Amino acid sequence: MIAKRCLSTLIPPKIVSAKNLGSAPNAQRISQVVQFYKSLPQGAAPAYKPSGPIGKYKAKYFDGDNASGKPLLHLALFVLGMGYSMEYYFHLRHHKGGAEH
Amino acid sequence: MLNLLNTYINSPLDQFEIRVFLGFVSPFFDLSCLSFTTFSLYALIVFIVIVGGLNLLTTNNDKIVGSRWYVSQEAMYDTILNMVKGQIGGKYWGYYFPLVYTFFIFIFTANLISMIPYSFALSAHLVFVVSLSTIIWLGATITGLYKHGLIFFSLFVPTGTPLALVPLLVLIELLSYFARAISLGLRLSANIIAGHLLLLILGGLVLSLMSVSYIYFIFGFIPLAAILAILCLEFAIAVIQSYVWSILTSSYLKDALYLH
Amino acid sequence: MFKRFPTPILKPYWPFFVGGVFVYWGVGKAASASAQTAEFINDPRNPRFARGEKPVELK
Repeated sequence: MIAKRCLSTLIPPKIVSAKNLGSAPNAQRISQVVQFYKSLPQGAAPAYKPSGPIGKYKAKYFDGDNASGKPLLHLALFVLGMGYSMEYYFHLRHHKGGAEH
Repeated sequence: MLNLLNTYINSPLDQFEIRVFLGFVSPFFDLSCLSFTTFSLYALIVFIVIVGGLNLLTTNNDKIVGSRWYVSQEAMYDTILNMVKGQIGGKYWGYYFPLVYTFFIFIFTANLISMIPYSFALSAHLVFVVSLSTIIWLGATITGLYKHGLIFFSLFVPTGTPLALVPLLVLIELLSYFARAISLGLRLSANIIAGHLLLLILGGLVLSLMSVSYIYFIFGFIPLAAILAILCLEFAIAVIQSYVWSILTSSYLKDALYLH
Repeated sequence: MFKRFPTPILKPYWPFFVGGVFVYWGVGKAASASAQTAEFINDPRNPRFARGEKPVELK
């Protein structure tokens, strides 16, 4: 396939140049392309605005450079607190001060 | 005197006890299958952590490149993907990847959450885990029977067996095939039960040792270091057992799909 | 938020759903059978008591 192609097809035609714009037969298309690229937003992308408590938490601990292992610590502390309070409610409060059953 | 210890003794098996928070049982109707228990609570936590924490929070706000947390998810996904591809292979491995990955991520998360103190070990409950493994085994067997018909039973005759040995080998293979249903779940559950019991018993012993006097308190740090080492081992077991579960699930599926 | 993946669910997994139904049924049978044994019939955790039944006198 490649052997059959002659050299001229490999060299891209010189079309995007200010001088050729008016004279070339596909000038209409070129100007459309130019219009398309002009309409694209320019500059840095707008910063993502986190919304809601979960979005703020995500922005603080998960996104970009803020990514850290702290959510694992938060999960562990949450489960620890919940488990201990349940254990306290069901068991430990009946054993205050080393009292027997 | 040091009062580290409120002197009462609980059974170390108390940590596996299931309590009912919200029961739906009365003399008139029995909906105890809908009761909200410790088990449901921790299953809900595991579900929220997997779907909310590991999937929704790790997306990178519609950018093409993922965030750093996303890399951790991709690494796990890729590990299991390659494992399933290597184990099952052929034409069908992609169909069974979601099943294996779901089991892996569930057992992985449940095991690791159970390592938090005062937490609850979902995978230490034999009824639950052995039921899951039996479902996998039954599903794989039905898949094999549906796909291959009676040829499925050629699974019980290893290739190149002398004819005289066939009855004996079929018996042994059949036994080992039926044992898979229990052994897959028992392997996971027994490991988790043993680990949690060992930690609690040793921890209780060291606690009573260290609360004897100040001398014992200082020397008690030596067995405490050993417990810390065992704790690291338990973390490794929690991860390895979930991987073993998924590797065995895919190998059973391979047997049913391709018969050797 | 959630991506849709066109993976077939029912086609490869129906044997597992059938297995699930069987295991659910079997475990339920086994649980109610074991709740009726002499060891557990007067256990305070037995769901009979939540339904307001009385302890059984064992011979």
